[in-house]
Amino acid sequence: MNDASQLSLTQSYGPIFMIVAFSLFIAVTMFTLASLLGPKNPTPEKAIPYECGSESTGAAHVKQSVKFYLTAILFVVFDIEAIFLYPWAVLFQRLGVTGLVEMLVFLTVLTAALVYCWKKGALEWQT
Amino acid sequence: MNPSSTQEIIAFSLFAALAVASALATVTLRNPIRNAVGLFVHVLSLAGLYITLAAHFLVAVQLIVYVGAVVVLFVFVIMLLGPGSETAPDATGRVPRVLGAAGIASVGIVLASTVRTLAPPRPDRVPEFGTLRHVGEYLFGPAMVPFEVASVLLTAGIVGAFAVAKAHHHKVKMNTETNLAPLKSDAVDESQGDHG
Amino acid sequence: MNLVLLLSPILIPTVGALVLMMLDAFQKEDGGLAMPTALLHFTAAAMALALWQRGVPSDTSALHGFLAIDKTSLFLDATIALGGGIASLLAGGYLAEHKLDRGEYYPLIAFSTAGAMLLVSASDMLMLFLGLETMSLGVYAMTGFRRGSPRSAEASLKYFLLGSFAAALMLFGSALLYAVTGHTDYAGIAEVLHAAPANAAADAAAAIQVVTRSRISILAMLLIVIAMAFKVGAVPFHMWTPDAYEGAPTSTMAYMSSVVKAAAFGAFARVMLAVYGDAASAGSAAGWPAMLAWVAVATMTVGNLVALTQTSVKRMLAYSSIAHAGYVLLGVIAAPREGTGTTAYASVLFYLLAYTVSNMGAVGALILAGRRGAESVSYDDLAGYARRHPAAGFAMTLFLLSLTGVPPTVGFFAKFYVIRATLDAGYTALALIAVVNSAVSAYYYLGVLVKMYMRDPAPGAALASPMRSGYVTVAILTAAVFVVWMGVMPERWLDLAREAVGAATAAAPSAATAGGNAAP
Repeated sequence: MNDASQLSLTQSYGPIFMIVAFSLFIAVTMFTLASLLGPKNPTPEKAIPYECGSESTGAAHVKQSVKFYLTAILFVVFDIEAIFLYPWAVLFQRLGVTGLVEMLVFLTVLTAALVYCWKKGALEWQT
Repeated sequence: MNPSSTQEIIAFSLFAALAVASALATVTLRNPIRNAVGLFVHVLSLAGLYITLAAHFLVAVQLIVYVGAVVVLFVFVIMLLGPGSETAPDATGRVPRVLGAAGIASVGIVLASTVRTLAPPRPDRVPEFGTLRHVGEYLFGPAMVPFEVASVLLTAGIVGAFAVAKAHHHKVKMNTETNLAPLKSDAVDESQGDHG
Repeated sequence: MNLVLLLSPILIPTVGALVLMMLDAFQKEDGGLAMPTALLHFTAAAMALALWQRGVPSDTSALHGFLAIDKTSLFLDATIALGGGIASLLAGGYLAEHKLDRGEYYPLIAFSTAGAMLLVSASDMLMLFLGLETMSLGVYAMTGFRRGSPRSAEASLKYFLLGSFAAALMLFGSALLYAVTGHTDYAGIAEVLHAAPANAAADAAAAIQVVTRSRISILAMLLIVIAMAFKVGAVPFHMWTPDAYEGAPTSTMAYMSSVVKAAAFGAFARVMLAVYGDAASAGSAAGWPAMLAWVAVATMTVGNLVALTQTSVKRMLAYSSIAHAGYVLLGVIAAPREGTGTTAYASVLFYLLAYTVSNMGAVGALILAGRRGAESVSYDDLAGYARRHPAAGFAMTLFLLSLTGVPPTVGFFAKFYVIRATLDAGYTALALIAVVNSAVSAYYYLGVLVKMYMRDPAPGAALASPMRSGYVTVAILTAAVFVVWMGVMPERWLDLAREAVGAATAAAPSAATAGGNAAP
């Protein structure tokens, strides 16, 4: 690696690692302290899952509708689309018209997908 | 190739160990949500490995697409399957297991023994390697064709997902088979899903 | 503009798919998209031929080595587009008859066709993957199109999981190749892999490098072969095939078993010849042709033997499609041989086209025999069918004879050329096994004919009667024209195929010559 002109690992990512380590530390410490210091005298009522004070009904896991799935898929796809926009935006000036055309083609195709979903009712919640 | 710095080695070992451990957790744990969390940690540690490779753009992609979207999709699907989706204990016999493990181990040994001696003919590492700028120049320059094909692939994926997952259709006259089981249970779920 | 011209056969189905999406989204009622989709496909086929006639532009620099637009890919493009067009017509009849006619099907089939064309034109691992996925995504969805049918859902899921697994293996193989060569394009990979081992002998470290490189490249090759074997449904990676074919809507089955197979074989032959076409990997007894020979034997034998035991015609066609993959493999095995290799490669292309039209026709005839609520799938359903409906029975007969390989039809010449190529390459035992297998296959194909012409339906059984659909009729006629035309003048079509591969080898001689130098 040509390190002379590049920031080293610690320089560029050190702060991020520190935040990660620090937040992990705080989370772990708090849980540990709570379980070590907190008084424990369980009763059957306390062991019931808390559900707004009312009696809990049904299973803890609730079956979700398949419509969430389609929404999630759409999210992933347009997320990927957005990712491609970052390098394009950075290079916008240098790429000139060619870059603009390339991105327009790319976006047109995906816009067609969006229009399709829209018209077919994939974005409607009450179906 | 310069020798890697100590911190790189430490970072690599840390993320690699985490990646392997979380991958094992992903495939061995029984509770699907725990599998998803395992996957989450795994893709996160892969992002860490990309850092050690100086693939900066890839790190961002990994975080935004995989950690931010794909794992969420997994969790959605697990929620879609609902309760009782915990897998039963594996009924695979001992022989297939041993054979499978042996197979994986042998591939691992072959790879490890060969990769050790390998000095890959790296493409010239320019200083801005892995940055947005560098990736963009390739993506919008020579790699234009695959870039545009990617949009076609994504669109095909959307239409495909729509064809398979979208049970309702506002042009209802068509399908007599649209009353699928998941939709029926849907109604039940919504009636009881409000408290809490 | 040069780029648009080069890519025109691929752009037509791509842009067409987008237009079909809009048509589907904005039209008031479902239906009516089959004809535009079929026309789109036939236009793409015509465009490929026009480009062939005009001469492929020599300046392909705009593609940056990602795609190889040459006569090989144009020939396969035309095959794929023809098959896709017939499949869209079949879908128009089948989906409407069975109340499945939702508009999503048609953009999906166009996307798959575009993906298939990209796949056969790919000359870079990246494009190979993108093409494979674009093609497969559409087919996965078309397989699961019969929503509410657990069979269809199971078929789709199985196909999807195993298909994704195969794609992952291929990606792993490509990654290993990139690791040892630093290239993703076939030419670059081949250049590094087969580059001068001469000075390696002098330098111990360099010698180790060469050994390492070849070891990893062999592992990568195994992964790619396995992935492709999954896609073409070769034994032992065929487990998904019968279930997926049977559960899929029949029009999808027609598409999967012909077009997807043709595309996968086209890409397979190209990647093997371009990356591993050197004498060392393809020539010796331990090279990949020898390995594939075992796969071919297993594929033919298992496909035919299991097809014998089927009671469902649809499932029989699924297993027979496995067997046909075995015959095509024979041509692929013979293709890297010096001298006779080109003809072998040409016989592969010929076989793919012949199988596409024959199989499309056979599945089309089966679709024709099934009305709403009474889909004919089993042999018993067809009892006496040809006596009651001579024309429909004759269509079925023609295509089954072609699949069997009876002389006046194209199926005979397809098998003949492939087996001849196998003999020319010196694989006598392999050719013999293929002939025996072909004879075995006659039993189950002719079994359908016996049922149709000589058996009476069981008392009280539902009588199969042909559905009325202009779409299916046109599809069957189109397929029949090709089956007869290619059967009457096979040499002309073989010459076309030969021209297709001849151009390819002339345009890209690097792999073969570099390999020749590398041979010890």
